[in-house]
Amino acid sequence: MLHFKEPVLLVIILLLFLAVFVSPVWADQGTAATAISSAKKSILDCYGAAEEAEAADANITVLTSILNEAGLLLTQAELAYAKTDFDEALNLAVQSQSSLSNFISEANSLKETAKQQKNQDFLLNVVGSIAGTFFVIVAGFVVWLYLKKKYAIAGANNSDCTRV
Amino acid sequence: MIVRGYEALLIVATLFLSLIVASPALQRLLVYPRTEFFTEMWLLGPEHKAENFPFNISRNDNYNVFLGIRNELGSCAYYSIQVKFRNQTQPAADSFNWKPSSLSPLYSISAFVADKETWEIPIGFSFNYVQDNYNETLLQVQFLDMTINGYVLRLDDYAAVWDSERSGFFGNLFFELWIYNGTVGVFQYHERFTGLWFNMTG
Repeated sequence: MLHFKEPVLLVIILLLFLAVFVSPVWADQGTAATAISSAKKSILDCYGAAEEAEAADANITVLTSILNEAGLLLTQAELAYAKTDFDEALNLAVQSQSSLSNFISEANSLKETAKQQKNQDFLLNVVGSIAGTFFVIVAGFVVWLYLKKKYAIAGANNSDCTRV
Repeated sequence: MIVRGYEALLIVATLFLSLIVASPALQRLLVYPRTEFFTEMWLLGPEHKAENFPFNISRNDNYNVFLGIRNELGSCAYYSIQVKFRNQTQPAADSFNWKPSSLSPLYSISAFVADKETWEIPIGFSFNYVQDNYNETLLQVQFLDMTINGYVLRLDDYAAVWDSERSGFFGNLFFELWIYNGTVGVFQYHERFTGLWFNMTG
């Protein structure tokens, strides 16, 4: 009877050991992996937002420096993960993701500002410039008409004087 | 048709003023469109010049270079620089067929660069290796690890054998440029690489 109980007891102890000591390590690995892929997704989403802002002619230097910082933290997280330092990997991946917390709203705000600037620029430089050119030409024509009239009167007066 | 003096002056003045006023609009029309889209990649030596690149390497000594990228692609780009190391027999990136090396990267550096902007980082590295001797003759250099920007990377499967022609144990640290393709959602080789050869002297 004792011989039968011993292996069962050993298996139970082993299972308890695995549950207490080994499983948290696996849980950490899973959490770290999830955090890393989540950080990667955030970076890609933010990169998309930066691309859109740049397409609207926004200056995205600030955005790229934030992305570079997040990318560096993600690389460090991946290196820590490769070295099975899952706590550090998790910590760095979370840091990477939180460094991008306001990124999309900032990118959208830059995009809107750039759009407004572009419209203003278009109005001033294109519409204003074309309207200004028409104005100069019309003004030139009016001046020409005025001078023509003035010289015609002056010419008529001169011929009257000669007749007298 | 007779053009009088005042008329000629008026025409010239009107044309001159019109051109000045129209110049902001003309500026947009007369800009020569960009026709070449590319990325530049370079390595500079420790003094930030294309000289004094490290070549003769001593075990665990630190060496510095600068790695740079300039984006001329017309939009911002997400690059990944894959750092690889090889000996003389391992495959390099292929300049003729535009293929990357089949070796696994030791380390990847991500870089986000806006259009017409430059990105550059200092790269500090050192090698740790042992020399295998037989009857007081050096046979090969067995690499243990390399440290790059503070990260220790294992080089367990790397060794350099004696090159009798060039008298040295040579290793090649190279950087391959990959770019993120948003359409397919993967990094693709951007057909650029740069690197340095080292002689593991002692």
